[in-house]
Amino acid sequence: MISSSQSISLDRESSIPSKRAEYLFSERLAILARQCDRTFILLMVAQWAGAILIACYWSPRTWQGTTSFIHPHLLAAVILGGLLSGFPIYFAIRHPGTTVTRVIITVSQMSYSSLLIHLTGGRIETHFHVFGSLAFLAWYLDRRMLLLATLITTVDHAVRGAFWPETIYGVLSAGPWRTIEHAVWVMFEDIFLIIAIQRNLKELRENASLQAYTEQEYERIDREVQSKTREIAEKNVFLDKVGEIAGVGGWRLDLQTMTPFWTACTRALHGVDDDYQPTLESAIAFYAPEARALVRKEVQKAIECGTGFDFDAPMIRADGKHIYVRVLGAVEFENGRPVRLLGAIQDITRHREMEQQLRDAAYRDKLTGLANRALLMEHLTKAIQTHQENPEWSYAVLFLDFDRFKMVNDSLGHETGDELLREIAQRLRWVTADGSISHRDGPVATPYRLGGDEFVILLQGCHAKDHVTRIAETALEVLRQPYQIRGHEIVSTGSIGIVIAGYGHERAEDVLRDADTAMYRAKSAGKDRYMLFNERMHTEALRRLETESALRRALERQELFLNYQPIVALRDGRIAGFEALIRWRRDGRIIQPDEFIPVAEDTGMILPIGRWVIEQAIQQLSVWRAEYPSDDLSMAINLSRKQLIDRELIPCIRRVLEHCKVPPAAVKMEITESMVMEKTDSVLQTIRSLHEIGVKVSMDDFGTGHSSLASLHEFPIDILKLDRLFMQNLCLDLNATAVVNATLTLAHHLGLKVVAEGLETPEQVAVLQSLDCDFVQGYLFSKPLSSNAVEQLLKDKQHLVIQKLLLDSGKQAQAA
Amino acid sequence: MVRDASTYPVKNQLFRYLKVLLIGLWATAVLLGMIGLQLYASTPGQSGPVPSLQQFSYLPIDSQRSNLIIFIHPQCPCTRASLTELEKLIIRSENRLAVLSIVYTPSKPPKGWNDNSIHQQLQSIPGIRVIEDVDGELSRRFGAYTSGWTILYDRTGQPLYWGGITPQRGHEGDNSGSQAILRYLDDPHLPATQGPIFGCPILEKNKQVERKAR
Repeated sequence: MISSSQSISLDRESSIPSKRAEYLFSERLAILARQCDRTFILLMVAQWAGAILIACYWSPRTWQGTTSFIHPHLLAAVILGGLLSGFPIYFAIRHPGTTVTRVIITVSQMSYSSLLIHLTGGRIETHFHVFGSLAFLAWYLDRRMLLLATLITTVDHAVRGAFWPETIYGVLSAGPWRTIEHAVWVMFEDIFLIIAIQRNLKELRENASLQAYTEQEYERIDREVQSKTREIAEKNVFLDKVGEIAGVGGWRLDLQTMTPFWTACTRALHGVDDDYQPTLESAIAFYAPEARALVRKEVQKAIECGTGFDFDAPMIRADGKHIYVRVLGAVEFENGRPVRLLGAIQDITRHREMEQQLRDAAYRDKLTGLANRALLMEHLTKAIQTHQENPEWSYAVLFLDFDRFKMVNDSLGHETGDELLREIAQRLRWVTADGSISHRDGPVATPYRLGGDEFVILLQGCHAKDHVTRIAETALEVLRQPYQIRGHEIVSTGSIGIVIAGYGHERAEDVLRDADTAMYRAKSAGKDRYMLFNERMHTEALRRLETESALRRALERQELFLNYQPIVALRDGRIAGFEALIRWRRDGRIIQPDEFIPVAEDTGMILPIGRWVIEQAIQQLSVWRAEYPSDDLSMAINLSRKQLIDRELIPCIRRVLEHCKVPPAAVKMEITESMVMEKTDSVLQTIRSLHEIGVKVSMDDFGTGHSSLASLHEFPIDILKLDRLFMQNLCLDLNATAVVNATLTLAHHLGLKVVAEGLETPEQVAVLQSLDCDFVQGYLFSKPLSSNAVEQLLKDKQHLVIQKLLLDSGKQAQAA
Repeated sequence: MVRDASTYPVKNQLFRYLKVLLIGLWATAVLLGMIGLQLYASTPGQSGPVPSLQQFSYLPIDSQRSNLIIFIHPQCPCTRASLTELEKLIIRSENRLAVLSIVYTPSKPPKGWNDNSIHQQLQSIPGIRVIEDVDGELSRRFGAYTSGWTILYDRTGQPLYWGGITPQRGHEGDNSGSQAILRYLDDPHLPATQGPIFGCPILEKNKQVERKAR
């Protein structure tokens, strides 16, 4: 609100449209004039009636003797009064607000004064009518009317004063001064009235300016509001469109009236018409019955706590279509009080479906359609948690392995193998779902495929061990049935390891590990059976766990170290190289690799340990080769199965070789026969890569696996290491000697070098010498030594002692 | 939207002329009416010769003071002003006047003839004697044809002033008649004068004719 003074200053600054202000001022004057006209209509009627009444009262009739006549005053009141009133009334009605009307009214009003003075016998009091009339006329805020009225009065007084002064001045004679005196008093009133008119006009003009300014501001604000409204409307349309595309709608709940408001998108999402007016209850009724309690709870919680919410809920649209929505809400406060809830609602049906599909893809085994390992881990983790929270509730894991699957796969092909796996899965599905097991009042059984031929049945909510074993027996029975695959009848069995809750497992991996252990026990026990994980296994598992934990720290604490067992060239008794053998010094006790390498392999720690071994062994070889360059020493390093499939293996070896400046041919990587026989792509690729960088490959423990002599040429190996088992019978059994002889002959024909392991007697040396074996290794020559001992051995030229030993052994053999 | 009154459109020229003519006629009528009223008020009434008071010894004359006789038509509204002025005159004469009011009364007066506001006003003036003038006999003899006719006699019964004591018909206020009477009271030797009389005719029209014939 701005004051008048402000509006004036604004006017001066021409910030207000002066034309508009002038127009408004004129309009207001016109309105005022019309209002005054209407007032004067009433006044004229009243004066006319008053004149007639006065005439009737004062001089109704005039007399001559006993004869009376209507008094001329009464006639004048009626006729002249009629003229004085009727004419202005006519103009005021027909032409309101015009100057002509005002002039006529002014003339009439002043004439009325004269008439009334006559009618009242010239009473001096009646003269006040003149002043009253001037005041009335001042309402017009028209100075001209006042001047006209004054002019009429002045002329009247001048004329009367000249001819009948006593009727005007109350004295018989009066000069012009008396007329001037009268005029002065009239003008005195006129001045007052004109000042009042001027003030009113000024106020009126200021008000007009103020109104013009207000209008201008209003128009400006209106334009801004319209612009903003348009913007908001456009934004709303945009948001509605975006919401429609995204399936997101807005909503609001007035907490005073508990009346919800929905945007167009929200209404579309609910499948209702645009004119649908929801109530809180009708809005909640759109949710599926099972979700309504959740919706009420979330809304109530939000109102009470002032927090927002975000939940998914199923909904049934007005057209009956089932959808899934995500509802987000927040509380809006005013003066610290929650006044409304507002938020968004999104149709996430497609997302849910896609999520389900992704979930299926992520948790479903593509080959068999069973749940996969990931889902098993999730479910098993939940089962473990549930059991921890409620020990009364139990679970069991049945770890199944199909016996002889590998053989089927290898002999009948992968496709048959896959078909077999699908059939196995189908049978397990039957076992767990609609099979002979009555688990309606028992546990919930779910089959999973871990990979390969390994399956798991998870039983949740099992209460009796019998129940679990019955399922295992049923599964074994089912698996035992012959399979008809691609025209082949396959007969096989399964082995099951069972873990029932109660061993304090905290991780799903541990449960599976123990079930796997039990399964292997079942296999070891003859297959086609189940084995329950028991206390003994549990103790072993705990020990294994402890080993695993300690092993993790062993690297950091430098508890691992290498021993080196010399490999001797039989031809000259020279130490040709060493085999690096890992040891673990734990709490002052030396632990053999048999005890911890399997744990390391299971836990994946074999990779860092293997890398460490490679680095240490090659580095040591580099030192020795530098000190004793004429000996052309080599180093044999054992590789595990996991290392073979580790992509970092080759880069690591290459990097260490380059760093230590050791020729690759001086390094021999030993892999077991079983690893080579797997002939997997990755293993073969690694062996080829080792060859490519120049590293020799040695097949360790030859003779313990299923490899045949005929298949040796298929593998890119350089050295064959005969297992100690051959050596044990070498001097006792001629057949064994023949086998070694054949092996050596074949190996040499294939260009392979042969290393005989586990030599313990001079007789064995003599036989091998006679069979032309290349290298030997065993306690006969040296047990595995520490690096310092090897240093000493090399320094003291102990190989000369070995040469003598070999010579003696040969003589003894010849003598024998 | 309210139109600007000053821009009120005149339908056609003829209408404008007609309006101007109408306004002119109206103004003329008003002016004539006012002039008529003025003339009515300022036109004196008729009067006859004024006799000496000795002829009317039966009237209650005060020989010690000047006698003022006023003739009144009790129904004439203009007479109110005369009575008002008479009352002022009596006060200003300071008991030097003996006032006699002769009230015209028909021989067969209508009901309430003497019971109206003028009569009451007359009765309320102190020290005035009222005589009924049946059928206006006395009025005719005193030449009083117009109500409010006032005659001032000196102690000897000779008329000093005759005429009205109002400035105009029915108008109160200073007037030449009252002033003349007061001058005569101070100086009875001044020459006799006549003033204008404003009021209703006292006598019937035929009586006036009779008077004229006589």
